[in-house]
Amino acid sequence: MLTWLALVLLVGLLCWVARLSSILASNDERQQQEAEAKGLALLLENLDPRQREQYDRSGYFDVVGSETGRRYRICHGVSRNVSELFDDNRLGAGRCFMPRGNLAAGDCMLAQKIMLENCEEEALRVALRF
Amino acid sequence: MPRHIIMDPSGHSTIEFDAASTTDLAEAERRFNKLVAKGFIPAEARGEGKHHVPDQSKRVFNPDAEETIFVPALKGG
Repeated sequence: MLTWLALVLLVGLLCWVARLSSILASNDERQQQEAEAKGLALLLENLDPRQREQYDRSGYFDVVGSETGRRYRICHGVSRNVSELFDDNRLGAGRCFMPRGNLAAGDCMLAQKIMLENCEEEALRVALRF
Repeated sequence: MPRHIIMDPSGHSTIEFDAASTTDLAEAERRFNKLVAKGFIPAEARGEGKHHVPDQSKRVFNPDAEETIFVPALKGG
């Protein structure tokens, strides 16, 4: 009798833990979605009209480096999403850099844009080629 | 109302302050200095997708900036 009772309690406990895990996981997912939406809204507020149109149409936008005048393409993403652009718009070397911390894609792309347009050298100093 | 936008995993935090209040301004300056000391890079939004990032040695609080976005220190991927 005692064994059965212990078994029932154990099953109940396992069900409760599973339910709790599921609630926590869905909360994490919702927070992540909210962060992505906020990040994207901030990015769109901070693109110039040409970049905004380009991003809406193609999921990427181009920026001009502050020191070299080189052009770069920033694609939607958080890493390995920045490449140099040749004059004929072919993609050149990749330049992988991003802000520290686990940021939403919009924030990450905005950080990459701000840095290349204002402190290109500072960004390229840490960037890894790919 | 001027604001500080701090990039973080929540999709950034926004803190508004009253530029006419000396208390608010002092608090904003403290926040600015603390973030820069942690390696954040301050970018003043200038509208139409333009920003201004002061040189590394000149990153001091500007009480006239309407919007400053704080970018965490960079790392290579």
